[in-house]
Amino acid sequence: MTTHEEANARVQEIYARWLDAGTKLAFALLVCGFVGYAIGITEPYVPLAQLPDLWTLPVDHYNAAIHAPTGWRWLHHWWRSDYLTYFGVVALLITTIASMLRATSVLYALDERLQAWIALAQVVVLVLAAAGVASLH
Amino acid sequence: MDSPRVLRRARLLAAGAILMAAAAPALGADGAALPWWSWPLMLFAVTFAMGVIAVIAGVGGGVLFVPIVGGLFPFHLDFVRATGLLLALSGAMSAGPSLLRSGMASLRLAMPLALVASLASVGGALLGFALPTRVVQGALGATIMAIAVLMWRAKGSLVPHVAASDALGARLALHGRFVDASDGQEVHWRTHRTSAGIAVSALIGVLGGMFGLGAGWANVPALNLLMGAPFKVSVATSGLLISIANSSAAWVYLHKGAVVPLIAVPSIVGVMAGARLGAHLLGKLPARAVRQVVVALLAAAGLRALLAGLGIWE
Repeated sequence: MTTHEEANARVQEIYARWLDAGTKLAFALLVCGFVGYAIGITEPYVPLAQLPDLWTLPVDHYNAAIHAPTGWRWLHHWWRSDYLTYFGVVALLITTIASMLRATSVLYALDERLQAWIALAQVVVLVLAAAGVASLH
Repeated sequence: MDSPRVLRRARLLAAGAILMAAAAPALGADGAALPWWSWPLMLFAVTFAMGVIAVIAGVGGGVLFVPIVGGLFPFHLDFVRATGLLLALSGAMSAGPSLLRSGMASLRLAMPLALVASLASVGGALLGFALPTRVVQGALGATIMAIAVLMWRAKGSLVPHVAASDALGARLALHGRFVDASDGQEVHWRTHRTSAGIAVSALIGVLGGMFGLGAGWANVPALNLLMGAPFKVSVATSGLLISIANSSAAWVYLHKGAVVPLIAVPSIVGVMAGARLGAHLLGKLPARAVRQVVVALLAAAGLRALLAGLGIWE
């Protein structure tokens, strides 16, 4: 195996490890959150019985009807059982960022500068998307 | 588990799912008449069946979910697209680690394409929210019908001949090798037409973000037939691409409030559970026949969405 192939295998293995751990954690959070939601562990932000009247509306009308917190403002209501499920979704999305950030540092350490810059640019795009730079304006 | 028993169970599950799906629109017209818990159960049944046939037909769950659930259930397309995107993302992320470790998925090949696709998918998601629902639905219908045609006609090339990498591909070191488990042969590969591949990834990103579809139907032909990656590398790397590009668009849907847990979670769990049974049945059911059924289903669902978008079939 050449040095280049060794570096490649190392980055793939580390990325896979982070992706695996993050995805498993996210699914566990998602399922636990949903079970809590279904059994009514806390009062949901939107009553379950009201949902069938609301989910036929476009998302803007749905948000207006229930004064839904958009962006990260759902964190003000994090204990509500419907928003507890969001922790699993967020964990799933953050997993990609964390895995790519880890890959960036490994690529940089292995002197794969061009690949490291591409990975870093990917992290920046994902972090900006997570911050809601495009979607909240 | 023996084959006839598995087949019998699969048929029963499929029949149950179809019955529940058939009941959904009729009951959905007066959604409040149903208890809330019936919705996740119906979604689970339908997405479970989808998960089974998606694996056997070799397609992603998202491409089936959006047109079929969008047509059968009363949910607004905004919520269906958000769930479709999360569903495709979940499947791709679950499969990613083993595909990376096997050497079939190439992070090096995925990264430049994913960077462009993730920027484009954010644009696609924003476009999907900015356009009138009718326009999005019509465009979704046309796209799904085009996917059905692509699936019907497309023939993959196992290991395309690439004489030499192009300059950009060489600079990015887009080459590698893997051991094909089917025959134990070591396959060396390299790609070409890198700029064209990146441009096509941008277009795929827009469509994926806008309609909430996983993009395996487009990524695989782009990587395999356009860039010259081996078919297995294309399929595996496509999953990696989806897991990165879809996650940037998924933030848009989450921030807009389009992720409804009662729709999203049963669908994700249903498709993942169905995919496990599908993987078990993979060698026992006629994949070609299942794929033809999926193509017909997609064509019908696409036509339904197109007609709804044109105001012909409400």
